[in-house]
Amino acid sequence: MSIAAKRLANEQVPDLDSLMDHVGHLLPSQAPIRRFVHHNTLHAFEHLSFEEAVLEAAKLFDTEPFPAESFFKKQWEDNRITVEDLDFVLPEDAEQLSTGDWTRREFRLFRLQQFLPAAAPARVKYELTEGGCLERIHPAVSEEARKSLLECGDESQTLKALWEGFSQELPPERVPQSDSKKKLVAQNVHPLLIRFCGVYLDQGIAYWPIIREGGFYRTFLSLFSQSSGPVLPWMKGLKERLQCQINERWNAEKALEQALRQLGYPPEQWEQACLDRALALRGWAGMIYQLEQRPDLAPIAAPPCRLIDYLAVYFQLEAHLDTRYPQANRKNFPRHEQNLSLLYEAFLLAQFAGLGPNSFSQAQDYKDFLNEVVAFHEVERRRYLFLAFEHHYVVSVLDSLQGHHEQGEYHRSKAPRFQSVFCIDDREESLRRHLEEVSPEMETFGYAGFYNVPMAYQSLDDVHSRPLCPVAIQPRHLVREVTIDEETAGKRAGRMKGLGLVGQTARAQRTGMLGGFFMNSLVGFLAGIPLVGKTLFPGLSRELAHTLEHTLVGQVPTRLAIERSPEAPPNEDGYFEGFTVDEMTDIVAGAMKTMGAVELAPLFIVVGHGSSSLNNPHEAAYNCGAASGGLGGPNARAFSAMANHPEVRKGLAERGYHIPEQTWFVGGYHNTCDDTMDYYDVDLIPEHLVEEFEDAKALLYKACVLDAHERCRRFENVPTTHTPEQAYQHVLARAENLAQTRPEYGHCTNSLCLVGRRDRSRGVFLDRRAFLVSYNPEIDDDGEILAALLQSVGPVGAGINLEYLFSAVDRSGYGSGTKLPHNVTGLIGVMDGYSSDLRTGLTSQMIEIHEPMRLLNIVEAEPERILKILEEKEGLRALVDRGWILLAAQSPKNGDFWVYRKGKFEAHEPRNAWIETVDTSVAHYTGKRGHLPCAQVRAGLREAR
Amino acid sequence: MIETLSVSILLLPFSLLIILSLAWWLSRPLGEKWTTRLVVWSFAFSAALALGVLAQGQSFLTQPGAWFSVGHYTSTWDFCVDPLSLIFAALTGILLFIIAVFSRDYLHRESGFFRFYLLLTLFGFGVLMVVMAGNLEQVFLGWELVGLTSALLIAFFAHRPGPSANGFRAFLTYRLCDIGLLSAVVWLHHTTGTTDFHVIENDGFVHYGISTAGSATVIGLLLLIACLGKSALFPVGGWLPRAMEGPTPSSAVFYGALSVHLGPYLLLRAQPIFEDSIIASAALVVIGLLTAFHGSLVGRVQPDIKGALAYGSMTQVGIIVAEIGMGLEWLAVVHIVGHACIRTFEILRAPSVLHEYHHLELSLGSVLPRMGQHYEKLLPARLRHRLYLHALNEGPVEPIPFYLLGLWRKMCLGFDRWERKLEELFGSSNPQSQSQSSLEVIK
Repeated sequence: MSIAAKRLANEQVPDLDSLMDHVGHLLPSQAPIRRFVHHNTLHAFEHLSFEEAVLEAAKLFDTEPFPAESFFKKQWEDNRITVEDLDFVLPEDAEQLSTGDWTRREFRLFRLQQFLPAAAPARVKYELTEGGCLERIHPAVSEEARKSLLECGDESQTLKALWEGFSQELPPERVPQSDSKKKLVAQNVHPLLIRFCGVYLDQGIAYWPIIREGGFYRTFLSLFSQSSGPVLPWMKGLKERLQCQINERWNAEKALEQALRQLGYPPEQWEQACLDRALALRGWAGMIYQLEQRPDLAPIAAPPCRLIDYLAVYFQLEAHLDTRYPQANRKNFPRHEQNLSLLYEAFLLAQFAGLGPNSFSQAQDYKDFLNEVVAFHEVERRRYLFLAFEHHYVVSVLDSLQGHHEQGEYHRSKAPRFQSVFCIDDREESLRRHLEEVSPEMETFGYAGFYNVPMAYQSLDDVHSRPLCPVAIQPRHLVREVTIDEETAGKRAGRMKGLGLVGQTARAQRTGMLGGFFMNSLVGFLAGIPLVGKTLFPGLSRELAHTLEHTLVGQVPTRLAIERSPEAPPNEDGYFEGFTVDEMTDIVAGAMKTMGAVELAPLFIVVGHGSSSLNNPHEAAYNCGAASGGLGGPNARAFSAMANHPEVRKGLAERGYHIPEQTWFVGGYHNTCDDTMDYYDVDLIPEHLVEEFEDAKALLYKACVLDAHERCRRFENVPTTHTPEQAYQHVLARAENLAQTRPEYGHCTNSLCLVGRRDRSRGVFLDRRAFLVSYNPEIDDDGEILAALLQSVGPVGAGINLEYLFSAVDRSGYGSGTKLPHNVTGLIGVMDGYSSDLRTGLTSQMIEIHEPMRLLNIVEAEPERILKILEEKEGLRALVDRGWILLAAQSPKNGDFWVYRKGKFEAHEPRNAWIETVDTSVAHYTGKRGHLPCAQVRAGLREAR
Repeated sequence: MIETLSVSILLLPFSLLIILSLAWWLSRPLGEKWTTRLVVWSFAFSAALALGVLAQGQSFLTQPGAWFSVGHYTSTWDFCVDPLSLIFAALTGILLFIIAVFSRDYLHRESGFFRFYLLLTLFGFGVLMVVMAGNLEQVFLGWELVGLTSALLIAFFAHRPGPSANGFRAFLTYRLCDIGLLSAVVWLHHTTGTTDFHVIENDGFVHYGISTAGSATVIGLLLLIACLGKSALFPVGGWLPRAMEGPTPSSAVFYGALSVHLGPYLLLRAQPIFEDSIIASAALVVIGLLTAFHGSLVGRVQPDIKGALAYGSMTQVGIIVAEIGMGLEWLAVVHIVGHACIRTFEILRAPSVLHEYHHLELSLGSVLPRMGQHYEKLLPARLRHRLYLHALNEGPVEPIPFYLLGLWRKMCLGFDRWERKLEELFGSSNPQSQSQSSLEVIK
């Protein structure tokens, strides 16, 4: 009897497919780790407003909704939250309180400034008995408040009366008790399930892979129904249970239903029960669900995965455990206890506010005061502090930009000598700034790092192709790197294979007995050489390794196979191998128009980016997000090849976009970790530009060195006295250092996204916090370019920003905790230590200097135009209106700023439209570690010759 | 002179230990920079001293003074300086030096930074104490320090339940097997009156003054029990993969290099005993090979890199123990040194496994060949499944402690019943006796 028929027979049974979709939607949607792409951690809550969503999610996932109060206290002390900001974010509430001469809003404003940490009940008991809090007024109480307290009488009497007043009312506190049954499941079922998930999803770590038969549930049945010698006590009888299911040919649906019924869940509770179990090991469940939806993301080949299979196994194991230990079924109920912490909080607050016992005329007053304290509880306070912190930043940035505008922006007077385009990535902000400082003749642009080339790419050595375009685009074109010297390439491949075989043999003997014996006893001591080299001399061994690789393997000249004839059919994987001239023309025209490059210089350098580091499972998270976590170099190379193509140029001219004949595009690759630059197809550069290119290269090198220098100011173990050259050497070695847990800080501290002409922001020190998107409002009459741009940039920026935000707000709940004990499993993810849930999100080493705040998008366009776009593009409007990103506009005409609040733009009222002026970026940041305000950099403002 | 230098190998980390502990005790932990400098250089000097003394090519016992005395009996500090102890001391110094350098960056900004280095120094002192010890009491002292630091570093991230539980498990296993070492000490005192090592001039290895084969068998087996825990041998080695909870460098130096090899070192020291007893050496071979088979089989199904490496360690240590049982002591020494180098390196770069995999793929120009196919060719399907499940369930090793616990519980319940019956018999006035309430806890 099919499930469907049964469902007809029993109306109450919920539809398991849609139930699984509901559950799966709430699970972390992180792909296998090598395909890590930043996304909003709370994507499942995007239908809510940001502030509601964090609270809902905190309840569901047992996580923190906002940063801790201690974080804000630090910001308060650094003057990065002020009373003005708190005043701005607190809503109106004019109700007069019964105690003290103030309104509720005034009380809350006062409360926010106290930063009183909650005291644990034990601490309170100590303070009451031995700590002397009833003898002496709290030392932090202000002089004024102290005086008014002492008006009531003697110090100790006052305090005792105050405490007595409060302690008459004891609101109960619910102390959650751990559920013994859940604990039992976690102790017994989870380790087994984690192991089984590990071997089932493994992509090539285990020497002996699991024998998969059908899906997850079927494999589980066929494996665990075997006899294998002694088993753990709780697993006794499991074999028989599963054998019975095999004999009766159960499927996952049936197994799930049976277990749910056995555990006594009525059908209306099934969804909750399934959600509970899925969230218990949400990393593993999420990975299964991800591979169910997108099997193409698996590094090698995804095994058949279904969330319902996973839950069926989970429930079957739990049901079996339940049969074995039925007595563990009893539940604990929440215990009620006097809420001492709350009383103490109110007691201290009254002291801080200078409210003595005579301010409370009756018992009801104490009760009212307590209620006020409860109503403005910690989460609520953190919410307002968060908003105030953001507000302060928004105001300071807009003020600085306004100051920059008023003090005179950069105005291009002559045609630039070079032009270059970089990814919009916040890490390229500093590189572009330094480049403009060392070379005033350079004009830079920002465009999403896949350069409008939606391709899958396969390098000369790669075995698989991988998409190099935003996740939202499914590439239909494959571009291969091919050699132009078959003979050398063949020899090289042979040599590489030889080296590979050595590596493969060593890998196979990791757990081997005989082979391991020979390897360890005969050549084992040789491992001492790389061990010493890589740990003690990472810089030297990097050079050695490169030289060795160069001599042993060598390099061959290559090109991209970029062009195809319009008739060519797709290959067996469904990819078109290359692009037609028409497609290429579209790609180039689209990108050039969007970035607003009107007059072209003779040399145009297109720079993709990526990052390479060792001992870093999260390496993909440092790569180009627009290239879905891949290295963006090939995109730059492909784009340049297209733009240099004579037929494409002809096509562009027909569409009215003219590329001068002497102009040449060169593709490059910036490694954001060691700040090196590589260039592609240099041999094709026309003769008249060779010298120009050498000059440009030298300038880019200089900029890279300075970029490394600026990055190093954030690394605590690099002295701030390092010269740029020393800093550059440091980052070179840093990228190759096995011990380095922070090869770079990635998108850390990102907080801004500027969409507009570079002239507006050129010469502003933005501290590597800003995504810079080039957009020229002058050539966008109908706003179509802007609409398309915002639609692609908005969600991408939000995804990166929100992932950092949530991982920083709750390092182990949303982030993946410290990476020190991380253990790569199955090539798909990391666990903590030997056995744990699959950890998703960013590691604490990646976000430790991040300041959680939402991304402020400043768009150079008239507010009316942006409102019109928001009206038309629903997805974008949802993002903005529900507060997942912040939005501001800068008028292209007069440079005024507008801030989007509650559905409309309000003119920005500057507090202090001023910006500090410095000679160079280096002068501004040298010797400083922490957050730096914006500054105007004169070197970057100098006009072109 | 040379004696002072030899003792300094140990004194250096010891004095550093005093400094670090005092600093912590007085709530003035040193900064990252000074902590690493001190630890790095003290181990570097220790290693250099060991190599220097080794180059002199002398073997001797040195007694710098008295340790403690009980009644008429006085125990002295004995240090055994010979090629074997110096090779191990040098290896210890070098590896700890490397780990201390590595951890400078790896643990940078970690809140437990100072604690880590303190434990690392304590561990180094413990290992050097075992290595240089001239009597079994000193071995025991170092042995305990190593066990304690091992457990504390497994539980380094004590805010999570996993590391604490696994640290506790390792600690329990150690303590249980320490019975062997302690009994050996007592037995030696009983039969010979001392546990001091005696240098035998011709081969450089040391001997206990045992004469009878029966006595040698007992001592040999007791020492083997001591090694079972520390070196994660069959059947109590289940704690080893679970010990991969601490920071990567501590996993590398404990379970790849030093801690797991202390067992074989103790056996090497006692080599003459095993020469005297065929039963004891046969036990070594059997336990060693069983461990190697078990480790290799279970290791082959591990889908996580640290787990696989831990089982790799277990396998090689098993083989080393078997080599010692077969009397191939110098092969064992070479094997230990080689294994320590490879495994430390492998564990340190374990997080690079994705990188390494990709690199291999590029080099080979194809998807990596599937390994483990010979199992499928050799075994019939039914057996294959069973063997796989056997490996996944970690064979008999994992359930054994639970059965022992069950047995223990049953025994306690039996005693309890017996006691209550006695109480009834003699008419106790208090039915809520102590034994009942303590039993509730066990339930």
